[in-house]
Amino acid sequence: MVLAAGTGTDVVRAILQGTPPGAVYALVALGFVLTYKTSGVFNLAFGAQAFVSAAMFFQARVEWGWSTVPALVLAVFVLAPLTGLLMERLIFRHLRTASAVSKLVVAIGLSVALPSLFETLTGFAGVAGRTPEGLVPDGATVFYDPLGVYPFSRDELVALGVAVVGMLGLGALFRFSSIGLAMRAVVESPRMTELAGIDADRVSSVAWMLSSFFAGMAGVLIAPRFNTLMAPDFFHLVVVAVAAAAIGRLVSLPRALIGGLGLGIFIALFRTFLPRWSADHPWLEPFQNNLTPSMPFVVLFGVLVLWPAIRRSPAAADPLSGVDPPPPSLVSATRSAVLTRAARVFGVCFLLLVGLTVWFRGDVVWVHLVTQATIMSLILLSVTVITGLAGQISLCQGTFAAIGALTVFQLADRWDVSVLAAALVGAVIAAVVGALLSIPVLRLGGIWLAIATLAFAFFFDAVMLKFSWVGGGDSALLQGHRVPRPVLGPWDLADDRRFLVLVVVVFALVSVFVIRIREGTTGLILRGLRGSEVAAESVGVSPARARMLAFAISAAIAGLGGGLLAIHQENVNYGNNFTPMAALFWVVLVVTLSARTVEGAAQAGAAFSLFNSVILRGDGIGWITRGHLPGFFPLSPKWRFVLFGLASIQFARHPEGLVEHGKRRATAGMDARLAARRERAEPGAASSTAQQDPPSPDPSKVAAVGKQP
Amino acid sequence: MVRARKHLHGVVVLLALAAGACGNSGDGGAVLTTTTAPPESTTTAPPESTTTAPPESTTTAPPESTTTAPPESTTTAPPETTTTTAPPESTTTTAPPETTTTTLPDPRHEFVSLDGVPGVTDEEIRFAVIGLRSNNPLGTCVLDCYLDGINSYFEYRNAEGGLFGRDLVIHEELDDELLQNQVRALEVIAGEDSFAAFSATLVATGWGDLDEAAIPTFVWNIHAAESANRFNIFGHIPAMCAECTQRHVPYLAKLAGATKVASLGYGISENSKVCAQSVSDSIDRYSAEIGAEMAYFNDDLDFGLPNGIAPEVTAMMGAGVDFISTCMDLNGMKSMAQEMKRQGMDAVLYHPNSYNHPFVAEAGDLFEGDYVAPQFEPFEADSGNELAAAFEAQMATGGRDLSELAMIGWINAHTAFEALLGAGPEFDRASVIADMNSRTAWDAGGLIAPIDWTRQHVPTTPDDQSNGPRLECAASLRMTGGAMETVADPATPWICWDNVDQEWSEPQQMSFGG
Repeated sequence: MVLAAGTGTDVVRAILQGTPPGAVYALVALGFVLTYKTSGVFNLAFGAQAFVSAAMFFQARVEWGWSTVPALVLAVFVLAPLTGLLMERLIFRHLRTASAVSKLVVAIGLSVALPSLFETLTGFAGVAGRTPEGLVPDGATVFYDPLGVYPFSRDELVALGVAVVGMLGLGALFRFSSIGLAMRAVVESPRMTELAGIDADRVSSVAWMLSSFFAGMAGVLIAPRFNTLMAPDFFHLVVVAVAAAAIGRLVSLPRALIGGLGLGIFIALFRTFLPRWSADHPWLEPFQNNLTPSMPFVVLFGVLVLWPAIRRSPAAADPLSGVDPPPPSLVSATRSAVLTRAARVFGVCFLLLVGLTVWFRGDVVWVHLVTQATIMSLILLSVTVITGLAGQISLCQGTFAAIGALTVFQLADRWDVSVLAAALVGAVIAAVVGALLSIPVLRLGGIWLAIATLAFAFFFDAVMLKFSWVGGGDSALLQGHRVPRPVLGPWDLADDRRFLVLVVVVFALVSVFVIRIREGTTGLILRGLRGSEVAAESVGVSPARARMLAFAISAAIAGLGGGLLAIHQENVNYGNNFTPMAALFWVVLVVTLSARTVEGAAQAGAAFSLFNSVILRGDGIGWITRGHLPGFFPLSPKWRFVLFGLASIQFARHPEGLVEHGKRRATAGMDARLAARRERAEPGAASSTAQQDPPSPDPSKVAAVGKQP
Repeated sequence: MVRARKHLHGVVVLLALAAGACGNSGDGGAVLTTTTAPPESTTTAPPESTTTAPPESTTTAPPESTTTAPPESTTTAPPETTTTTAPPESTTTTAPPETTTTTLPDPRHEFVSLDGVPGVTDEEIRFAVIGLRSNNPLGTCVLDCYLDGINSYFEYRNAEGGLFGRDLVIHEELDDELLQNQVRALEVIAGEDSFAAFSATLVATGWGDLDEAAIPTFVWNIHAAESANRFNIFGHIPAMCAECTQRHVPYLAKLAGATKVASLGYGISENSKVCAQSVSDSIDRYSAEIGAEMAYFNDDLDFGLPNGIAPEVTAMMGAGVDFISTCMDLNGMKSMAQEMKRQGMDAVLYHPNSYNHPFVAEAGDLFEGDYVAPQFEPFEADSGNELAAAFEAQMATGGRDLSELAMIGWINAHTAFEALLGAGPEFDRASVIADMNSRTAWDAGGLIAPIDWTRQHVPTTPDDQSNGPRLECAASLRMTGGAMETVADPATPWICWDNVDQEWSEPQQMSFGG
């Protein structure tokens, strides 16, 4: 492509125009790298921390009328480090030796909980059009244009300066100071660091306070870019900045800075020249239409998939990690046969009770909610397969579910295909997409796979959905994604109760299928791969094929669930159900409760769908008390997010999952009571029984084990 | 659990909102002579078809205006008044009519005990309100402001003795928390203790359920896809045609003296893209008449403009753009205006979603000379509309602030009231719905451009505009000094075109009040 006359000026202008957003990305990317280097946490809560400080600054400066300095001290020098200290003490200290994926799960939980907790405590609420103030007077209105090409505001110059100074300062800290070295050492191996006489806890606390301080500073500097101060904007910024951090492989500060600035400039150049070129060359138009909004995600995915250095940069591994015990077996595999039978009977009775209650007493709301919970449980079984069984973190399960749902819509809308048949077709298409996706990400593991799948989800959201053969185009514009209910033989499933029966049957079948996978050869292969990919390969297992299989099965389940959800709601409701952020929280829920069991998925589905009504709105208590609700109900929806964060804190202490932890405790207690009873009835019998049944592990010891997602 | 899932979802919602408002304001469905009807009787008075139409009016009315006059409108005439309309004194359609009113026995207070009508007791007619309070990604006031309008209207009517011997009351306020709209709708359905529902939300997943349950539902209709073909849902505007060309934006470009026009939309939203394309097509279609042409088009902007909008502003400056129409949310508009100011670009903006007085005031002179168009008669009008005056007075009495959503709530409440009134003292849900669906020129007492509810539940398309409005109307305002003023004479704030064939003509200034 030959550049036209004047192109040189245009290039310079585009570079300058891309610098302010690039500086923002660089600031966040630096924060990411700082946190990862000093804590080993891929901190998706960075945006939440930045928001809290920005909101505190705004509150003090605008609402309370404080001057800049005290507001800055409160928001950045006090609140931010304090937040970091609490996060370290309460949560991440317990996860120091946990996998990067476990830490990611907790960070996602915190990204939700922190802003809600702050807003609940302070009453802060973003108001449209109330643009936050920057650090310097008239920061948004006074401009400098030294080159006469494009002016920078004071706020932007300050942000750019802080990014550069931050990079230099942090680089010096890590390179020349003992505390910097200690921080990196603690991340790599706290045990070895302590053997060298360094207080790992203290170093870790300092590291978190430092990274939180940086988050706070970044938040205050970034805030003036947003005309309404809302936490989701900061989260979105973080997702984009991940691309810049990935360029630095999460460890290089200079590369993160260059990556951030480069991303901003690249996007500006792209937006300057591609529209001109596509005007002359129509074949470029689809690229312009589709790449512009998704550029950060395309860059991120490309970096991860095409840059070999990423694949060769495994997460920091503790050389002493061998002292950690392997993940404990499932409780269901270790408890006594008597308890297993009792648990199954109890489970069946409980489900029957719930089912009969809903069938005979439930109104349209409860039938709807229970149906939704069942379908969500089905979708979350896909997380059980990919994460619980295969040990891979996929953050694009919502995309697979959306593929199923949109397939149902398209087939029903265009060709009047039965929606049930369409749901099956949707599952197959999702499986194919899942299998194809597994190919480029084949060599990625742990945190990198999570990021790549997240980038894919955002790419689908920003690009694929716009194609009429995916999102519906004009048809959807006029009518939405309306989906009819099916008729199955003599049964018209427009009746909600009948549809619930169908959904329960499908869930049961898929559950049995998942259990069979877990207990069968495929499960053994996946377990082997989780343990050691090299070892598995040495005995003839193909990791590529196994991973592709896991992705395909998982995607198929999600696709089937997505199709059923669309049929249930009689609408795809993509924005309500399947956005990338929704899928993030599906994963967190399942992993927090229990990633390896069907019960975990079922309870996560129930929590996802019923928590709001049963707990927050008090319907559960109201039903029990016949409508006599305490005055504080309904609780603010913000408590949902705060409690979600608290659950992730509990997960930090019980990485096997809260459900599994509870089962283990209950089983141990039951075993002890049964043994004591036998001992009383027949002295000596308990010890002989104990020899027949595998003993239940000591819950306290099990709780300390943290090497699984 | 999904605060942040609201985030991107909120993005989609915002885009729907941005696009939903774009191009909506032209919907209307009445013959021109409706402008001469007083507020209450506008909806119910026999159309001017024969005896009441002023001679001047017939010259400006669409040819079919007399032939399409609904004969049933006489059956819905308010029993308490009979209205005759005198020809206006001027040749424009903007002069208020001279009317003579004869008071008849008022059946509004006729009480009939009703059994088995949900939400109706001997003392009350109960309503549910579903809206967005928590987790609003826009940071705007939705449910609370909407409730302000409904509560004010109910207080206003209850002070007059209520309706059919009963008070109008809000029985349930349901915060849908952005993503719980369907569950809240099902709660209303299951509760069976609300006669009808109101809804103002950003994600309208529950409207289909309310419609299927045949519950009269009155809504802030920024969701064309969710309201289209649903005959129990009544918006403050009807289902719209997003793709059709319209004259409103070209007219504003002409008014601004523009010669080069840009149209912008967000890439992530099909609604926003279609809206931007519609504006572009409109400029192309009327280019010769307005003396302006399309110079820049971009429907691929990032939502929220996270990367800024500097390259696009530079490109527009290069193209000589002096008028920019957008299909964007208000925060995006502010970002763009700030970037234009930075680069020294002097162009007039059309804001589809910025009828927000605190927002405009906060922006100071940033939007100086820009245009905005609410979908109802603006507060800045001075048309003598009695219902508008009652709104402002009642809001002041209640110590409430005027807002866009409050007015939408007031309009929705008035629609419900009039439908009940039309159904008579032995009303039920079906008769209320049937009454509103029989109205061919519903203008909510002159607060909105008329809607033909016998047709306009079904959206029109560029290929089939048979369900389109008979008038294309917009109530445009110009921003100045952090405030707004009507483009047209405040007494006749609506700018309307005959919509028979969408050909260009000079617009008529109108009011629908009296």
